[in-house]
Amino acid sequence: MDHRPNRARVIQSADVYVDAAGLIYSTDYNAGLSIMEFGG
Amino acid sequence: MSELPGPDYARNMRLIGHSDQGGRPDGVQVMVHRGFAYVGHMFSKGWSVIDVCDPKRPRAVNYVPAPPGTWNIHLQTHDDLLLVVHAKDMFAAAEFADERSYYRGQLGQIVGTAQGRGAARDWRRVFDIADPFRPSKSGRSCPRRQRA
Repeated sequence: MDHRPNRARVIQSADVYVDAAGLIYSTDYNAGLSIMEFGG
Repeated sequence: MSELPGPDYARNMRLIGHSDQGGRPDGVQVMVHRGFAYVGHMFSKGWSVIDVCDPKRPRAVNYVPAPPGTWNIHLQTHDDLLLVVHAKDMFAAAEFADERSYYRGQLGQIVGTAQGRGAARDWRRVFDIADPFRPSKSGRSCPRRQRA
């Protein structure tokens, strides 16, 4: 979590990784790791 | 595992799993390798290993702290190895007490790396991740070579 003073608590997506199965792993430095799948 | 947050908007995408990374949600670079996600941290100063063999139930299994004065925002997996960059923690640097400094001038000149100052803090370390639950140091490379 961004703990610097006077920083808004907002989405801060940082990186994305797509594995061989097509699952999407995305980091956000205010919100942890999210794992998603594409529905086409 | 944390409860799945609801998206404000989603189309053709479905959130199936979420992790607060063992209470260190400040994830930056992520590499997924053999069922484990390796996540570098900006504020927690280190990197975490998340078991994603079941992506609906990701589970933090390890955390490795960064050396003092550094952060881990870049890492790379290969076979049984994980390359981690211990770069200068810019938010702890006096030069960036005023964040606007980051966006002015040349970064290397501001933090001194362009002149070789602070280079000793800029290390790359290799970890053996054959056992992701117990990563171990397998070696350490030299600081980036300075330009002549």
